[in-house]
Amino acid sequence: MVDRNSAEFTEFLELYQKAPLLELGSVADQKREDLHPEGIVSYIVDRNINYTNVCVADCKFCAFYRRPKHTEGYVLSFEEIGAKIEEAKELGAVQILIQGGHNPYIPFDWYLDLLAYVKQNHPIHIHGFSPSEIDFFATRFRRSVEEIMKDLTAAGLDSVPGGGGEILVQNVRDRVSPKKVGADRWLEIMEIAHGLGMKTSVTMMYGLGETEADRIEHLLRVREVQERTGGFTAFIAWPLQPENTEMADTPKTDATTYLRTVAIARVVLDNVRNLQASWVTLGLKVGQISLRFGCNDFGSLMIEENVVSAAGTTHSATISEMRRCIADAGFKPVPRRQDYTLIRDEIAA
Amino acid sequence: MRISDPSLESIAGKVIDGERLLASDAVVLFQTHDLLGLGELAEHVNAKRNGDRVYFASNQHINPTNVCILTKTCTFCSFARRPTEDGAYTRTLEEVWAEAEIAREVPVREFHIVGGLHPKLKLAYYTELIKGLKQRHPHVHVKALTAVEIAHLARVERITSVDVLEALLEAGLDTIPGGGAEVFGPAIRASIAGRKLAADEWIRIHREAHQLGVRSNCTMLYGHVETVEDRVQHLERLRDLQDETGGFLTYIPLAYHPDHNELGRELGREGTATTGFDDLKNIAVGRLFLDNIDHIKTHWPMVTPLLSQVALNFGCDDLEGTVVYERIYHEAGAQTPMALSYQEIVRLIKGAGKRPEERDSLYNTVRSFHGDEAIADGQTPGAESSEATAAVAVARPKMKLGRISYINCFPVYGAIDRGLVNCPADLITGSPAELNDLLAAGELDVSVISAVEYSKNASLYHLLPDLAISCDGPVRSVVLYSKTPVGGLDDATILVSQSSRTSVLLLDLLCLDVWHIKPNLIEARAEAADLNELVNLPHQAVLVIGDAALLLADNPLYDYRYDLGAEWKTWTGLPFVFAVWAARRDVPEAAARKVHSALLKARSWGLNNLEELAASASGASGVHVTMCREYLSGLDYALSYAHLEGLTSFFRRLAVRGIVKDGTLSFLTAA
Repeated sequence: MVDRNSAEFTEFLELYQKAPLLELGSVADQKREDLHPEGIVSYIVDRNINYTNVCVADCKFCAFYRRPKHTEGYVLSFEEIGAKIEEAKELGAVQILIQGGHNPYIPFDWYLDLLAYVKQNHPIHIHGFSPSEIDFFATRFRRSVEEIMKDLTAAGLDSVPGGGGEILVQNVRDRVSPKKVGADRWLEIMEIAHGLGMKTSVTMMYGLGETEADRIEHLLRVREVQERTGGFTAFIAWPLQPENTEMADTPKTDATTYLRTVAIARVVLDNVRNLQASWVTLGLKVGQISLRFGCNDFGSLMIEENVVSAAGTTHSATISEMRRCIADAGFKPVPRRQDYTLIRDEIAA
Repeated sequence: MRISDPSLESIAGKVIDGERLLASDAVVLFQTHDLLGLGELAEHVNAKRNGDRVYFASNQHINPTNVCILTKTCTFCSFARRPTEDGAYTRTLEEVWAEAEIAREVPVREFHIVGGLHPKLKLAYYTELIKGLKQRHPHVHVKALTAVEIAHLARVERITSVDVLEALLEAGLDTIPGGGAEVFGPAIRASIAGRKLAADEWIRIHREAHQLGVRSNCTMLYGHVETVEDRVQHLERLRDLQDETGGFLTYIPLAYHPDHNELGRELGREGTATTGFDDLKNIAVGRLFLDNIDHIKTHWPMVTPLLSQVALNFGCDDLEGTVVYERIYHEAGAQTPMALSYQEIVRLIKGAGKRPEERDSLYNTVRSFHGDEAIADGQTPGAESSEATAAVAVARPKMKLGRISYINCFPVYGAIDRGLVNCPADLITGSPAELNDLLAAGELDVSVISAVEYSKNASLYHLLPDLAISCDGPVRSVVLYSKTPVGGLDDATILVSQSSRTSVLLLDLLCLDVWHIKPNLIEARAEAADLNELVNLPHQAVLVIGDAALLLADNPLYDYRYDLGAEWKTWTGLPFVFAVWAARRDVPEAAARKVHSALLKARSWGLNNLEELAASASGASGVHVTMCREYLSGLDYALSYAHLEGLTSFFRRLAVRGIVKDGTLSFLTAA
């Protein structure tokens, strides 16, 4: 567990709270430079497919979900999902990110059939089912997490996204998402996935009314698991988008907070190789600037992002825009796969 | 200072020695990828000039017409229309004046007036427009007409530009804006603004204005077809004129927006804004190269408020004001909000780690956000500061007074609400927590705030003497409702109202020092309207305040009820002060005293008319009238020796636990 009185904790917290912005940035920039001296900023072309918006988790920060029986609830058919994958492939997608609500009306076989259907008819890397969904499956279908993961993997799941991480401090989760997977359990599921040889990303959604110390604790808990498993490929942070959610009164966090947060993450998470810029929530300008505050990856060309755009964030960009931003910041833009290997034949281009 | 690009090192030396930069230095600065190193240099210069202040102003943009004879040749513009084109408009004088009426509701200190080069509008239209505005809003500064419009009027009237300036000046013009400079280089100008006023003419008109004593701003439109060298030549011309006249107040780099204009289509750039790096470089290089201009402004309607906030750490000391209406960049696809509230601007600046200062058009501070420091910075309380206070009083004719909506405030505000006591202030209603924030942000001048809020921000406030909300024994409206006896709450979940920090801290102290338990306190919305949802959340006990506490008294869910006022009394033998009234220190004391005096008058009416107040309290809250009567008579509104002892005893206990800083009470001179 994290000791909030340790010298290290205090030091990180002070750096996060008190260091001048540019000083904190330059510490993070140096760390990035040490880990990625080759001057490359990677990005991925993928598509986010939200297979259902029906959800019983009732998280206060979510603008996307609909309660069961709500007229706006949906579940996508396999054919619709297949069509979305084909569209994405035409745009050069190398992966789909498939996530959805905790929908109590979907049987487990549906997920296995979906994975098999995709692998057979529209083969592509499937990055899917965050720990909160896996926890929901385990509870709902009365199976162990290991069994769930093994079945999903056997059916075609390739890697697990770090969604639902929010803030990995229990009393924060009690306040904003009491029904969703707890902090310990979230990390445990990631550790199980890593144990099964799977790579995952890890996220932090901040601005839920948590303290800065809570954020540091979140980072240290991630670092601790990573020390044991090495299974996290990348860390991604973004602020709550409070519009249209139950937390609409929560003040929006600002760009300075974002830059400080990615910078401190780069400093604390010395064992997580990649840090992704979240330009979808912050916009391309601040996303680009974060490349000097510790980020070495420009995330994905989000062909579809229902969860974020339902909350009012409507930034849109094309691959050429992303590449322009990366190059303008003095880096070489290179597309990558989900596991952060670079798609080399494009380096020459 | 960490400089990672070696080509910046010699420039860094010059910056530190205060040496003037060469044009070739500016080229290197524009080309570097060492954004943080560049930012450090710009911040170094900015800090010497402006400290940690960031200025902002409340202004209203007025664009009288979008009809423009340059429609075809200024290819970067999305605003202009031909006279007969769809969407073309020209406001009548009455329409402009009507639009300006909003200045009465929001604290507008400046009208920023620019528009197209209309082929038929004469000089008289503009002089009448300005005269009319000055008549209606004598204290609002008029910044009007770019050099391009002034030259156009001179041509239309066949007079000199000095004649035009003098006529405008006589009508009430105060300063002129910096637009129309674009990029001075003739090749660039030929390709994006072929028939617009030439660079020499732009410079000449600003020189003439400066010589007439009219200050102005200067700009550069970047991010289209210009090269880095073009930018630097442009900045050099601005710096040269400033050496000559000293008339520029501010430099504002303007980002080109490529949507809905010919140039954007031609370049295939639609949907692509300038990059964040380029925006920050233009700020930072401007700060470093223009060593003779005091202020560098970021224009958030073009670059987004997010980017503008970051710019405040890259050499920028001015965040464009609360722009009430902005058409020109929004026609070009700027997806930024049309206006930022006063409070949002203050929050953005504070979030950047800087100190907000509301300014007038000439950079006199009209409102500082740390009362103490404003005086320390040399604003001696003399003629100057009383002039500044007068400006505040004019632009904000009434004080803003906060009131809690709970019925416990009825005895203090009842007489004011009924018009029996005249209070020289506008009343703003909110929950205690909201009022705490509004007063801290300077959105209120005087307010009732929670006791703890006072102790946290004591340096910002003066207490109003002899006025508080307190109890000596049971308070009835701050209650812990529990499903088990309090001894059984160790490690249990207690939901606590988000609405009162004082009550939560009092509960905290009681748990630690009296009951010796360590529950998990979890914040929840617990106003009267939230109670149905609240009782369904998992919890063992709940702390509710105000009307909600009275309403929950009948709920069978809770067998145990702890009145925190009574618990405090048993523990310490003292009254407990929940809320106090405070005035911001930067508010003129005389005005605060008038409000204080009205509150005291209203209170004495209230205490003599509790029957009537209990009846209206019952109507407002749905709580039975007998209970309201009992409740109101159990509270008291004085701040006597005993109350002060209770208040300081509470603060002392919090200070021992490190929750608030140790301190002292500071009072407004009594009314």
